[in-house]
Amino acid sequence: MLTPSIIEIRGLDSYYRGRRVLDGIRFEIPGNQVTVIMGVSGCGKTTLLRHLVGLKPTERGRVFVDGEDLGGFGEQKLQAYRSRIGVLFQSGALFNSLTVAENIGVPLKVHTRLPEETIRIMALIKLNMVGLAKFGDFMPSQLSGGMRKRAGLARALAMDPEILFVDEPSSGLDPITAAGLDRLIVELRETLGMTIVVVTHELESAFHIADQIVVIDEGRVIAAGAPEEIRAADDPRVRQFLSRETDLRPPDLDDYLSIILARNR
Amino acid sequence: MKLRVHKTTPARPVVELDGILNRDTVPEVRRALLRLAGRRGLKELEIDLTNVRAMDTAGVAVLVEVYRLLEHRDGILRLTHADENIRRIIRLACLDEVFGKTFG
Repeated sequence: MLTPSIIEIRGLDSYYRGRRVLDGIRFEIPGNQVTVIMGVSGCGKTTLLRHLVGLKPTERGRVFVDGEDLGGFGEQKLQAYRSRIGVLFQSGALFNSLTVAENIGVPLKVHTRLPEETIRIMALIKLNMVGLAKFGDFMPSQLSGGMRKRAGLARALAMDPEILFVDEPSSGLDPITAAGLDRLIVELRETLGMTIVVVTHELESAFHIADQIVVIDEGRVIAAGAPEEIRAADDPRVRQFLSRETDLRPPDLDDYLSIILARNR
Repeated sequence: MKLRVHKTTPARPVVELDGILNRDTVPEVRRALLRLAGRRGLKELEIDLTNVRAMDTAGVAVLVEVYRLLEHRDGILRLTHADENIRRIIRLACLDEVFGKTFG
């Protein structure tokens, strides 16, 4: 059963260089649950995530957090919101001049009055959660891409956030490590009661961790519900996504033909 | 977060914590706990968690600091009346091997 929503997205449109990336997105994110946002590459998932964390202003539509319009937050309220959330973007985004453990400690230094040693222990706890306990004194440049990603997740977890947003947590990871991260996400929800939003196109992972799945296609929500409801959905694009069928006719074929045949010159 | 020291014998004090042990309350609690754990002649420190309603990893970290300080002085830390939520977060931090033995 889903709990009351903590974030509500109403009629959200988003544009990138004049192109509409999101089109009337509308759904709710319940508290203390794992919501998975799924869709093919380029469908607008990451853009949506940027709106949810307050990094991209809303032009049309609204994002409500605890019933308040995120777009209307002043600097102080936005800071308070950011201290409640943890974010992992696809790149991991670590500071190259700091050790891995120091990277994890950055949010704690900025947002809390915790002493250095407590911060260091918390950083080690988070690194252990993502399987990097031995790498606290390494520099980011000494880590592989997958390890940097996990270190980024540890940093997103540094503050024990109330809401955790993760973009493609499993990309670039071997199946065993990826399964470990799935288990961690479920444990974080169960143990700390975190509200977790995961953006992914990994089907197996999504159905394993999700309480709610939202499927996005070409910037629109085409299905939303519990995993069993998504499995039973009869929307052809959802069926196609779930059965990993490729399009025989690419959706942008007309654009391609216009370009290659120089039709609009 | 309230902190009460009671049933005090100099070598074996009992500390009762009352409230939420998290990143906001840890700085004060830490100072008091480390001061107590650093007392000369202390053999055992019991932290009674009956009234700790919630704990995050900042709370776990401060327990690690107290444990380390006592261990270096051949003292013992005992955690008593930890509820299932506290035990779960200690397990999540993979410290049940350490603190599991201290649960009273």
